[in-house]
Amino acid sequence: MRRRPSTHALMFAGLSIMGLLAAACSTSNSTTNNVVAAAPNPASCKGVTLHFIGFPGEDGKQISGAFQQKYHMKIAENTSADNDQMIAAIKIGQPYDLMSVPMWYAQRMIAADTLRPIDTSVLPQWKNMFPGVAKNSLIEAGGNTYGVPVGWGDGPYVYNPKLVAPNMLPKTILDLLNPYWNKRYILFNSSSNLSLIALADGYTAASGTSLTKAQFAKVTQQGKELVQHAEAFTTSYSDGTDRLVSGDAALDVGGWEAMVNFAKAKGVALKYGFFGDYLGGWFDSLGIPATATHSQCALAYISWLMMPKNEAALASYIVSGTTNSLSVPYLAKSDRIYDYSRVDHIVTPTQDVTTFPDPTPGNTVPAGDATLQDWNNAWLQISAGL
Amino acid sequence: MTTATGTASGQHTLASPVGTSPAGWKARWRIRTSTALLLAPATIYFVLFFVVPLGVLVLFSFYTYTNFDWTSRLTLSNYSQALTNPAFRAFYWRTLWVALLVSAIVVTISYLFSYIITYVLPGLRRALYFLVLVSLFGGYLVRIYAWRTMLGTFGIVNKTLLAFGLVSHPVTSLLNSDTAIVIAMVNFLIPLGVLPIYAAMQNISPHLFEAAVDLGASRLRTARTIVLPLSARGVKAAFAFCFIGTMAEWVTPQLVGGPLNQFVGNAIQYEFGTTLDWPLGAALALTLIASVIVVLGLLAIPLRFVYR
Repeated sequence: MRRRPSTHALMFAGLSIMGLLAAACSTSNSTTNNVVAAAPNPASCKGVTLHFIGFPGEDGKQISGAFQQKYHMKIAENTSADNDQMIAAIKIGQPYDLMSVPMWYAQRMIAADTLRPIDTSVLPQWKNMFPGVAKNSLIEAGGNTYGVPVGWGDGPYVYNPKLVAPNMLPKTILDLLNPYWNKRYILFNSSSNLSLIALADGYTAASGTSLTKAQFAKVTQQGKELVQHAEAFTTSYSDGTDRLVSGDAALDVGGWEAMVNFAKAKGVALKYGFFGDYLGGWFDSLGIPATATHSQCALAYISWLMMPKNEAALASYIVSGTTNSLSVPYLAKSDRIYDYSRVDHIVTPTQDVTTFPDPTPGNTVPAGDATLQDWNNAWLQISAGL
Repeated sequence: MTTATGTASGQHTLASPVGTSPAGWKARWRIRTSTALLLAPATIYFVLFFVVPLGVLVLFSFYTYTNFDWTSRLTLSNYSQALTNPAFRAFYWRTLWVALLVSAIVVTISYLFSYIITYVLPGLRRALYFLVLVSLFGGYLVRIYAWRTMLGTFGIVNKTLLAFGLVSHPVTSLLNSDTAIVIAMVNFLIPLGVLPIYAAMQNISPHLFEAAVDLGASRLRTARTIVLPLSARGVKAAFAFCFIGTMAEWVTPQLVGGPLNQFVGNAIQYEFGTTLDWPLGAALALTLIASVIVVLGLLAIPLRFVYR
C-alpha cells in the first residue's frame, strides 16, 4: 500500500528545496570588485576588526600592536588556511578584509574574482617598493594591481648535510635523476616542479614558462621520472623539515631558508643550496578580498605596514626579504638573510637579480603552447603513475 | 496509548488506539504533530549538514569550469572525465584495492580479537575491550605521525631489524609506501572493526552453545555454525565502516604514502584545490560515493545467500 507523505517528510522535502535554492544562489558571484581607492585614513576606523585569512605572520598582527592600540583597531587572524582554502573561503562568501596573495596563486585568485584591485597611487610608500615585486605582472591584471608585496625570498633546496656528499649536490633538478638520489628527495605535489625541469632543459630562458607541445612532452616525461624517483610528496615546509630532520629524506626540492631555523630548534643542522640554473624566487602580497567589509580600513592598515620601519619588522618576522627599499637600514644584521647591497633590484646571495618567474604558464598562452590546464592534467597523470 | 499485538507471522505491530471518529482524527493529528516536533531538530540538522551540502555537491558536479571559475551552464563532461580519464581510473583502482585489503585485514583481526575476548578469555573481556577502545582516544594525526616515526629510515622498526642483524641497511621501503598506508589504516580502524563484531557476539545466546556442546559439536564447528552466522551482521558493519573509511582517505596517503601511492581522495583534493576545478572535484566525489555503494552492494549479495 502506498503511504501518504507524513508531516516530517514534507517538512524534510521543503527544507531540502530551500537549502538547495539557497546553495544555488550562493554560487552566483555576488561579490563586489571595485577598486579600493580612497586615501587611507586609519583614524576613521575606530573599533574596526580586520579579518585576515592567510599565512602566519603576514597580516603583521604581531608587529602592529601600537597601531592597533592607537587607532582602536583589531586584527583577527585565520592562519590555518592554505592557498586553496583561501580561495574557497572567499568564493563561498566568507567576509575577510585581508588575505595573503602568494605570487604563484595570485593570477588564479584574480581570475576567480576573489580579490579587489587596489589603487596604489594612494599608497605613499608604493614608489619606494622594489620594482621586482611591485611592478610584477603576477599581481596585475587588466591594468590593475591586486596585492601589496610584504615579503619575498629565493627558491633554494634544503638538505641534510649528514646525508648528502658535498660533491653530489645537484646543479639542476635533472641531477636528481641520478641513481644516487633515488628515493632520497621530496617535493611538493605541484605541476610547478615541471617549470624547474623546463628551466634545466633550457626551454624557459626565452619564453617564460610557455612551452611548445613538443617541449612539454619531453618535460612531462622527465617529470614522470622525477616523481618515480622521489621519496614522497611533502605537504608543507614544516613537513619537509620533519622529513629532513628524521633522515627519511636527504633533500627537499621546494625549500625555504626558514627551514634551517625550524630544524635548528629540533637540534639538527640543515643547509640550503640552489640549482645553478634556477633564478627562482617567491613573494607574497597582502590583498583585499572581494568579500571585504572594511576595505578602506584594510588599505589604511596596509599603508601603515608598508612604512619602512614597519615593513622591515614584518619582513623579519616572516623570515623573508623586505619589499620596501627604504626598509633595508632598519633590518637587524641577523635578519638580513639576503644581500641588499645592490638595491636597484632585489638580490640574493647567489644571483644578481631575482626575477620571480611564474612557475606555471599564465592563464592564457600563445596558440599551440601547453596551457596551465595541460600542465595540471600532465601532473595528474604523473602522480597517478601513468 | 499504543498496544503491541501479535500477528500470524509472529511479528509485532502497533495497534492504534484511535478510531476514525473526529476525536480519533484529533488524537492522530496530535500524535503526528508531536512526532514531527520531536523529529524536527534531528531532521533540520540532517538536512542542513547532510542533504544541503550533498545537494550543492550534486549541483556543482554539473557546472561548467572555465579558467579558474565556473558557470551554471550544466554539462555532463565532469562525469565523463571522472569515468574516462585514465589517471582517475588509476586512482580509483588503487584506492579500491587498498580499501579491500585494509577492510579484510581489519575484519579478520577484529573477529579473532572479539572471539578471543568473548569466548576464550572472558575474564579479561573488559580490560582487553577497554584497551582497544583506548586507542580511539589518541588523535588520528598523532597516530599517523607515530607510524611515520616508527617506520622511518631511522625509526624503531629499522633499529630493531638492524639490532637483530636481520638487515644490513635500514629498509627504506617501509615508509612512504602502500605498506605504510595499510599499517596505519589498519591500526586506525581496528577499534571500529571490533565494536560491531564484539556487540554482535554479545547478543548470541549462551544457550545455543550449551545446546551445541550437548549435541557433541566441536569448538570449531560451534564457531562455524553458530557464532559466524549470528555475528555476520557485525562483520558486515565492520567491513562497511573500514571500507568506507579507507575509500574516503586522503590524509594517510599524503603523510605516509609515497608520491605514487595517492588515493582518489588526493585527486579530489587536487581538483578542488590546485586546479580549482570544483565541478570536476564534485563529480569525482559523487562517483566515489556511488562506487562505494556499488561495491558494498556487490559484496553483500554473496553474504546474503550464505548467512541469511
